[in-house]
Amino acid sequence: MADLVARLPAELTAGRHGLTGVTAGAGLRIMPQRQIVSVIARRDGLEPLRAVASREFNVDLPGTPVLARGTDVSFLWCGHQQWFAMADEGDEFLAGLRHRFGASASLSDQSDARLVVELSGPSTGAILAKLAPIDLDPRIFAVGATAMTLVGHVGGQITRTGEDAYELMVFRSFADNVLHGVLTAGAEFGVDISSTRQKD
Amino acid sequence: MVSVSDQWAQYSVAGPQARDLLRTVVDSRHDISDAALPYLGVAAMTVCDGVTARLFRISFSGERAYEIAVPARYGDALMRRLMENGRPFGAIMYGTEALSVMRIEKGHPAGNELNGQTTADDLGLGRMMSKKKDFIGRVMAQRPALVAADRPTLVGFRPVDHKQMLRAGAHFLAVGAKPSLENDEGYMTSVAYSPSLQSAIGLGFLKNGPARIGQHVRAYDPVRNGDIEVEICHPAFIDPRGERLHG
Repeated sequence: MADLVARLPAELTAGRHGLTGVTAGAGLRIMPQRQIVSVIARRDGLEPLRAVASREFNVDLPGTPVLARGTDVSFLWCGHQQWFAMADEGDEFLAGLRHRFGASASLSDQSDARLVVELSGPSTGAILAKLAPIDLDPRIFAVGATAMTLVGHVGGQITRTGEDAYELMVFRSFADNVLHGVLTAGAEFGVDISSTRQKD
Repeated sequence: MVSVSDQWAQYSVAGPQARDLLRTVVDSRHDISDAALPYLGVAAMTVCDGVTARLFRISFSGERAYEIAVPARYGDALMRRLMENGRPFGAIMYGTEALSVMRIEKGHPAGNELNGQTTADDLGLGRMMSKKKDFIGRVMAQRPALVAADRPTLVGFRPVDHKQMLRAGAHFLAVGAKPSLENDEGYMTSVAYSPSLQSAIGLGFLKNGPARIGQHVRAYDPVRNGDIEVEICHPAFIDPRGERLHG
């Protein structure tokens, strides 16, 4: 097995950041490394792709900006006829998708290219309002909705995973910058950081 | 299109023993001999017991050199491993300043030369433009001013008095010519002190430059009181035949 130690895009020390003496306004967690593969439908590939996704993963590939959860694999809309296929760590995810989708899609491994952060808690909306120029009202941005937008001044994708929970996804090389932005925006509410050490 | 820039951590491993150092991390079943991976070759392989990797035989320094890429999560560990395994080879980190000196010694055009005002011909790369097939930019590249016979073309420069420094931005004048726009023959783009040649060296564009190698011109820089005589040289100061590059 690989004798190099993997590292997450960023590491934070667990504990309270910002305001203390109150219940934290938000919790922040760097998500464990997951498998992310960019899936782009090729010409005339959309229908075969949808059929395979439905049959193999029990999911309707979304044509609008939402996260669709299937069996073992989730598909996050990320553009016209484009999705991120996401799964927990395991072997041969890319190869498995390639085998199933064949010539109907172009695939690219993006697992190491993204930092995924979960932000949850009652003040999350107020924190994100400082960072992202999008309407987070639940009538507009319901649970499951996703948006390719800005996080601070960095391009990224925000997905609502619960009433008060969001996943932020940005390029790995912006990890420190984005985390600094989130913590700065959250300081007035207090942010509880979960331990994020990578398990080897 | 999907960017994979953040997916991979990629390092340059350059120098005469670069392949020997890489041999210590590349899994043994992969052949990285010059026959299997010649200059400009590329191969998918594994390193450090099964980590996915890509190995590129590419050189910006002019030395035998490679770039090795692994998924970004392993970037930190691979760099540490290379430095550790590189100790017996005397491996050291090098930065862009050193790289910049080496690329000038080698006559490789970079940002200062690829400045949006120069053509492939100006850079001595005209052979890369097909004479037979169409390509993007072909029509525009045929405009009269871009194919004029006396267009300033890439050459190297060295001060006649080796103790003098060169200045990027200096303009070239024939020796004895009065400074004027009409007499302007080109300009210096990149300069460095070459530890190998123990003098300043420079790259620049000079009218009919390649035909004037060995002759002298004035490098005139009135803004910084620079006015020195320089020798016109082949742009590849070191290893012009690429023997180091090919190993």
